[in-house]
Amino acid sequence: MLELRNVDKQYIKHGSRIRVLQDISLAVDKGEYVAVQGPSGCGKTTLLLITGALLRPDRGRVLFNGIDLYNLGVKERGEFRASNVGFVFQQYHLIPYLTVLENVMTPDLARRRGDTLNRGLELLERLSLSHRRNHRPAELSAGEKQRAALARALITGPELLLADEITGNLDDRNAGIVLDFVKNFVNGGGTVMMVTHDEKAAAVAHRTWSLAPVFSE
Amino acid sequence: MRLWNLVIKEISRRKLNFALGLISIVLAVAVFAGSLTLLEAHDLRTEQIIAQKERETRERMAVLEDDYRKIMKNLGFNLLILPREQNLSDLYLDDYAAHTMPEEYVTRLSESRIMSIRHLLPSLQRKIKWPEQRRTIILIGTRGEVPLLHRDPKEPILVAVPRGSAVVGFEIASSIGLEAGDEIQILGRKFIVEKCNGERGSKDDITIWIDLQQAQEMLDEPDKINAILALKCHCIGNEIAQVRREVNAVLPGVQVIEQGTKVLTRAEARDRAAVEARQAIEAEIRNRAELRREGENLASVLVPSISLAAGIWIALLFFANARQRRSEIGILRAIGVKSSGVLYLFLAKALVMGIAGAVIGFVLALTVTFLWQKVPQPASLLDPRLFALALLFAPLLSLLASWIPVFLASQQDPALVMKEE
Repeated sequence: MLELRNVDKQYIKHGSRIRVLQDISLAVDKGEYVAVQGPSGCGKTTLLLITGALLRPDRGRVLFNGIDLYNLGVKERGEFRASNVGFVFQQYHLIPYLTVLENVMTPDLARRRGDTLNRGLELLERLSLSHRRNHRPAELSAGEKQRAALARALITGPELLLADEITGNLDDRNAGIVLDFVKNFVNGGGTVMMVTHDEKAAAVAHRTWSLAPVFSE
Repeated sequence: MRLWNLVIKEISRRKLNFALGLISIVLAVAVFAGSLTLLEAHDLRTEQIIAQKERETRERMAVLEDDYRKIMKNLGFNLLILPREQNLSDLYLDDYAAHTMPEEYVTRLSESRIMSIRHLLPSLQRKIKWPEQRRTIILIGTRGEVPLLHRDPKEPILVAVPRGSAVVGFEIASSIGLEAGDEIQILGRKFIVEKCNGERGSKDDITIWIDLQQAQEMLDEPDKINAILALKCHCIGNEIAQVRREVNAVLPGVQVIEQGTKVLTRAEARDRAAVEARQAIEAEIRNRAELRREGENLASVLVPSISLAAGIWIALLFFANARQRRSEIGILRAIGVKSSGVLYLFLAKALVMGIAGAVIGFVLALTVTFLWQKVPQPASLLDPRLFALALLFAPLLSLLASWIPVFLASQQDPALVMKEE
């Protein structure tokens, strides 16, 4: 379903060229849960962003169900993300002036769907956040924020969930809730690529893929 | 969920940011609309002041007309009593009477108990060649006022010229260089100049006044006069015909004519007053126009300055707002919201700010104008075109000022934001 072929990516910072990904090739099947691990700065988040059609690689191809994502225009990639990908980040990125329910419904801004409200309420129910639906992010705990972010990522019913250190800020209980939900998503046929340092999160994955740092010039 | 909901919720959540921008727009619109409204109010006020002044002038002129009528009535008629033989055409051509009548007429008139006559001035006038100065002059012999014996003594209107003295007209005195106290000779007789008259612009400027008896001797017209000036003649009904009848009853055959009509005098006085009133109004119009020019000059500096300052301020606020919402923009782009959607989020906010600022600023401008300028009908300042202009100006200012920061925000690379955060 998802395939990265010979992907290279480098950044230039303060005049220095930093190569973060070199000749990366990876294939993920539908319904597979892949944990991506590696030391800090090895390019895990970069890999995730490239996979999610957010960051164009310097070389190589990213195929999703046979479609080369970076052959699409900016607008089409946006539509692809809105339809197929759910993102969850370590820092949640909830919009501070919206309530939890409104935050969960924000993907509706990119692509209107019929039953967003009911789906949002159902997700909040399943994530034990119903009582918090009218609260603002500032009033939530870290675990609640991450659950709200997860609900936002899944409200569109994506095929692919890209998660970046989503248990990094959570205690064991909240991490457990989040991981259970991810497993349920996978059990329902969803595909997950999760960047994590958390061994518990990696342990429940079907496969762990280690990313080694590359030599920087 | 629509982008518009986000705009409204963001505004209601970050009230200070919105309020600071709004205040600058309100100020810009208030100065812009206020300047134009104040100038409009100034024009209305000018019209009002001028109309009021014209009304007051008309009222004053009516009062003045009435006053003149009363004053003229009190002054009575000025009559010239002439010999029976005097041809009036000659009188008007030569400006003096050539024929004579007995001086005794004036005594008879003064003792006749004619109640309507208050002052009598007999005179003997003649145009003569002045051999000593080789020029033509008018010589007038006068004895001043003849008291009306049967009445209380009155304050004399004209003082008699003493014997041996002369009062000299302006043109004669200035051309010869005469001053009071100088000695002159007329037809071989010596006279001391008692007084030199100021310029009158009439035949008086080429006239010399001397004692009546001396004039009679010099002109070889003993006990003769050729005119009696009767001043301040009053009668019932203010009618000259009445006076004429009374005089003719005492001095049959003499001619009585009016010296200068009251209507003419009144008209002249009224014209003078009207000219002065018109000049006062014109001066007021000039002052108001000068004030308007100053107002225009001030507005031409103030409006662009305030607008520029408001624009810069709004741009800074939107830069800060876009920076504050970096994470929000990043996640919106990541979930598939287009850059035009992000543009909409900010520009809609700028538009709301502009429209609200236009309405509040316009109301503020009108309020200040009403309080400042006492316009009779404040509703007349509610100019829909100006309001429409404010509604166009304020959102345009707000959109233009916010465009650069908003455009930069919409072009943010979501991957970069997600990575940095």
